[in-house]
This record gives sequence, structure tokens and C-alpha cells, in this order.
Amino acid sequence: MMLRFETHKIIGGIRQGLGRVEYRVGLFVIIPAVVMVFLILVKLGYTLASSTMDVYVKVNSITSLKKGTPVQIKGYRLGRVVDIRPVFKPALHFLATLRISRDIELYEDCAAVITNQNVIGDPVVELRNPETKGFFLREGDVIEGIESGSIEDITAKVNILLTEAAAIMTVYREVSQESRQDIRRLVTGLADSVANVNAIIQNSQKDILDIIGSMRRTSQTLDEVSAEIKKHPMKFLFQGKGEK
Amino acid sequence: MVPLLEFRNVAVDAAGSEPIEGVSFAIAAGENAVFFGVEGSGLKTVAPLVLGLEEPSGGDVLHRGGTIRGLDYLERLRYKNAIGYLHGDYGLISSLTVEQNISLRLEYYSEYLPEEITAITERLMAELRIIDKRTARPVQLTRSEIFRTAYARAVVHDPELLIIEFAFVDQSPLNIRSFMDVLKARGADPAKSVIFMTYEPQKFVDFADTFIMLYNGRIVFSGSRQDFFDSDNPYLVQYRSTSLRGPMAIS
Amino acid sequence: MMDDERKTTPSGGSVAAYVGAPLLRVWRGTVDFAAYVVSIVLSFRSLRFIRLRSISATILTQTRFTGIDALPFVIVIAVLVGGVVIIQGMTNLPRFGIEGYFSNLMVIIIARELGPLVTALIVITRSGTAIATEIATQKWSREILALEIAGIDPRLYIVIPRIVAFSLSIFSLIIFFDTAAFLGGYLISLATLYMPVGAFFGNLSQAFSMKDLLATIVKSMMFGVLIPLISYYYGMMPRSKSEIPIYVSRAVSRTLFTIIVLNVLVSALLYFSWLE
Repeated sequence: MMLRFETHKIIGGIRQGLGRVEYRVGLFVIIPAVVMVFLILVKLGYTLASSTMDVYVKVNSITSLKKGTPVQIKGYRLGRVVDIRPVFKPALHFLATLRISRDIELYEDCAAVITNQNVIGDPVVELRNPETKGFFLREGDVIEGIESGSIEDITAKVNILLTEAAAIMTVYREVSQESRQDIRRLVTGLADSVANVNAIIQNSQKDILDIIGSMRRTSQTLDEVSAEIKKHPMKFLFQGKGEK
Repeated sequence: MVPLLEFRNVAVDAAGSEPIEGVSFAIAAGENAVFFGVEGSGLKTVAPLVLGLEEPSGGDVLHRGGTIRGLDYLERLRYKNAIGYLHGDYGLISSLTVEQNISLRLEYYSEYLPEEITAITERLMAELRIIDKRTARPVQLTRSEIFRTAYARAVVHDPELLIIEFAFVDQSPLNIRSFMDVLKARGADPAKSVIFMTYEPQKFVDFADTFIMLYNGRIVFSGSRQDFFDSDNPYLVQYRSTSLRGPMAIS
Repeated sequence: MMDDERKTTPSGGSVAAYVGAPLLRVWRGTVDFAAYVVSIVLSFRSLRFIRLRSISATILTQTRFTGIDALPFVIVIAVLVGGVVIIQGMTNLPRFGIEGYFSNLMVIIIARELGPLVTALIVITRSGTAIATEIATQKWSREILALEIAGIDPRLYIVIPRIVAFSLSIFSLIIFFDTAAFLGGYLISLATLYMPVGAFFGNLSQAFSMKDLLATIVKSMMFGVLIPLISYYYGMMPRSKSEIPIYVSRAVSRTLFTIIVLNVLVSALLYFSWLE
């Protein structure tokens, strides 16, 4: 009698066990199959994601960056910063999560410049596409962030140079009528300043070429001015470039 | 009437099997036969020949008048379905339960519904008194339970010819007593034949009609039950008396 | 059954005179194995007569043993392998900008090669040996014979469910392996550099190409077919008890060799650019 009872327990146990095995084998086979199908669908171009994507910007300091900082491209608002986290290794830096719209084509090598939107100093993350188009920027990519500080430095230097150039021009204007021999010397000085500007532009990071672009144009104008002066010093001095 | 099984001058000389030569016999449907003999007499070659596991090097094996040589895949399958085979190693599939072992053959090929298979299997298990072991695996069974399971598996498809080869080795006679009744019932069926290969023919005198003795690959005696008891065939006499003296050289 | 086949296999004697005994053995083995594969393929004819019910239990238990029971082991190995790959990657790749290469490195090394290969090795050592031993003992205790007598083709009854179970198991194990290895790599990478989980897995899914997915499927099918096939082949070889260990170890070494060679072939076919 005792034995029979035990047997029934064993039978019950085996039945239960079999049920569980089928269940487990099913899960064991189905989960990876679903993962595979999902990956294949993703590779075929289907996406379950929304109209926005998250990318990361690696920055050195977060003095001007905070949650909610807008993200723009050419002034057009793409999204905002949703999260900022410190990273302690290898050296302290930060990863800011940008949630941006997928509408605009961005490229992998794009730059994120943290800059001030206006005089008051509201910060903004300005994305800039590189000149050569490579792979599209995709969910989860990490972009190198460029601090507005460095841009301001460069801008300040260029400003100083431009101011210098303007001063030289003024001096030139004053002295030109007195001494023609001085002109050559002054022009040389001017050319040096332009060279300085160019050097700074070239030394600065490639990613901010666009920002520097306007300055390059300024320097080009300066080049043109000096060339003009070389060719027709008198005409330039007395008539001005604008009247040409 | 066409015999169920017929050997016509069969010879086997392949390496690895006991050679036989010029073996001829016929077994009618419903007839039960006992094959016996000493070691190396060719006894062990007969069953593989019937089962088609071995090809005769001469002569022919016929089933219902047709040779079993060169059957194609399906014909071979059909032929195998006419035969049940039980050997001394039993060969129960150790990973399957008693019930699964018995029903395997039906589940694998047959058109039976699962309920029908369960019914057949349960009837057999009840008959052989192993029904309470239905979920046990062979390793949990006693020797006679293994034997009865193997028997149930051999007859689950109700074959017209059943071959039982050295199947009583190491069995306690009392424990297979109930089995003997089952076997007797099958032996009495006029449509079914049973063939025994054994060293102990006297065990089967109750249900066997024909006794065939082999020695050195040849048939040295063939006769009815009465002949088996009465004949003065020197081979049979030596065998019956388990004497070392006689025409057979015993090593 | 197998003995018969061996006897009828062409001896290749004419080749022997020229290339010597070892090559002859390889040649004979190959011819023999080819004949065996052909016999398996031919036995597929009777597949339509087989009721799935009789092999479904075998598929289930085999999948459980080969797949689920191996899962903890596979995961531990995978985490360690992923960690090692990342340690090597991080110490040998320039630190700056490593985030960009990180996922690609893992996909290339783990998903393309290590995942399928290590999984196959684990399956061979666990289940390949088990099948070979099981079949050898089944043959010895005449269970195989009992099957044959019952009109059940042991090639179908034993090999087919195992091919199905192995293919499913290896496929699933590879996916689990890759996932665990990626996680392991990620966790270890946290020690030296930080990467958001989302970014990591986002990059990872991008680093996967269609080819990588295809390779995973192709390899798991291939290994899933070959491991039971070779194990059965050698499991049927022993003619006595004492030969069982000989053929089991042969089954393992041959399977390993075949798998590694075929892995290289598939990788070459899929990834060599001159084939595109």
C-alpha cells in the first residue's frame, strides 16, 4: 500500500516535470528566435523607434549645459538635452543625452558646439554636419562636444587682430598723405596680421571651420583690401572700397 | 497450403556468424516450432536470416511463398510488421518507460489513433501484469518485468510469426509462470506461429508442434512432439540425455 | 547494419598504391562516411510514414539536455569570453574613441566567430559524447536491433529528432551566448570607461550586419546537423564493449575537427570580400 502511494507520487512528479520541460523548451527555443527575427527586421529597415532618437555628446565641462538645453542645427530647433551624467574614467568628463528629431539628416562625424544663443547667454547645443558626408548619425552614437569657451577664445583673438588691423588702417589713412614710403611698411604689417589670423584659423579645430568661415571671409576682405592698396593705393585711399 | 515461413536449402558462410548449410524446413501458419542444438550448431543464424538481418549465401528464405531477398524499403517494412522478435538481451530502450517501449512501434508508423494505442498497450500490460509499472524505466524493473515488457513490445502489432530467441535466460521459472499462460494462448491461436530458439527444448513441449535440431550447421533431427520424446536419433538421444558421449563432439 | 555498409564500401585500393596507408584510411573513412550520409538521406523516403508523436518526446528531452541543461555553463563561459575579448580590446586599442570600435569589435569577434564555435565546442563535449556513448551502449544492449526489428529505422528514429534538437539548441545557445558575452564585455568595460547601456546595445544592433545574422543561422544549422550525424556514425562503430571508449573519443575528435574546418569555410564564404 505504502509502495503504491509512493508510485503515484512519482507518476505525478514525472507528469508535472514533463509539463514543465515542454514549457521550458518552448521558451528556450522561442526567445532566441524572436530576438533573431527582431534583429533581421531591424536590419531590413523596419524600426519600432519613435520619431526621435537619443545620441550622446561627450563634453569636458557642464558649466553651460543643463537639462532642457535646446539642440539646434543652423538655428532650427531639433530637440533638447534630456540627461547629463558624469563619467569618472579615464578622466572626469560628461555624457549628455540629446533627444533629437530624426527629420534632419545628420552625419556620424558631426560636431556639437555648445555656445551661447544670444548676449544674455542662454546656452544652446548647435549641431554641425561635416563637409564630407559619411555615415548617418544613428541612435546611440556619441558625438564629441566642443566647448563654447574655446570658440570664445578664438573669437576674442580674432577680434583683437581685427581691432589691430583697423587701427593700422587708421594710422595708414593718417600717414599716407605724408609719406608714400611708409605705405609699403604699413602694408607689410597688415599682411602679417592677416597671416596671423589665417594661422589661428588653421590651428583651430576642423570641426569649427564653419564658425571660422565668416572670419575667413573677413580676412579675405582684408587680403583684397591690401591687394587693392598695393595696386591703387591712392585710388583706394581717396575713394574707399565701397565706391568702387 | 503455402507455408508461413520456408527455408530452401539455405546456406550462410559469412564471417562472424555461425555457418549453416543445406537447411530446409517449412512452418505453416499456426504451427509452433522449437529449434535447438548445442553451441555453434547454427542456431543463432536462423533468426537473423528470418529477420532479414543476414543474407543467405545460398538457397532462399520465403515468407508466404515469396522470397525476402531484395525487398525494397516498404516491402521490408511490411514484412517486418508480420514478425515479432524477442531476444535474450531484451533490448528495451532504456530512455523510454514501459508504456513507451511497448507502444513505440505503433506510434512510429501505424495509423492508430493515440487512444487506440493506449488501449492496446494497456490491455497488453494488464495481461502481462506490468500495468503498475507503466511509467517505470527499464532500469527500475525486475528481470521478469523486463522480459514481459519486451514480450509485450514484440507482440504489440499482433504479428503472425513470433520468434523467441534464448529469451528465458536468467529467468526465475516461477516468476514467468503467468507469462507462460499468455504464451500458451498465443501458441494455441491457429493463425499465429511461434518459433523458439533454445537450448532447453523440453520447456516448450506444451505448445510446440515441431522440433528441429541443428548440429554443425545442418538439421540433424526434425519431427513432431511425439518424435521428440520417442525418436532414437543418436543426436537427439545424446541431447536428451545431456551426455558427453555420442555423435556430437562437445567442447 | 553498419557492418554491412562497411563491407560493401569500395576499398579505394587503387588509390592506396599511390598515396600510402594514412591517406588511404582518410579516404576510406570519407567514402564510408559519405555512404553513411547517403543512407541517411535515402532513409528520408520513409519520413512521410513517421508519426511526429513518436519522435517529439525525443526532440523535447534532447533539446532539454543539449540546450537548457547547457545554458548555465554556456552563459558563464560566454561572460568570461566576452570579458576577455574586451580586456584585450581595451588594452590593445587606443583609448581615445574606443566607444566607436567597441561594439564592432564585440560583434566581429564574438558574434561572428567565438559564439558559434564555443557553443559548438560545448555542445560537442556535452552532448556529442553523450549521443555517441548512448548509441554505442544501445547497440551493445541490442536496443538498436530491437528498433530495426520493429521496422523502425534507427537512422531516422535516432538521428532525425537529434538533428532537430541540436539545430534548435545550438541556435538558441548561440543567441544566449552572444547576449551573455556582450553583457559580460559591457560589464567589464565599465571598469575603465563609461558607456550608457542604451548606447552600447544600440551600437551593437547596428554593428550586426545581415551577414552576421545569416552566419549565425547557417552555422547553427550546420553544426546541428553534423554533430549528431558524426556522433551516431561513430557510436554505431564499436563491435565490442571495449571499443566503446575508442570510438566515443574518436567521435569527439572528428566532430571537433570537422566543425572547426567548416566554421572557417563558412566564415571565408561569407566574409571574404573577393567572393562578393
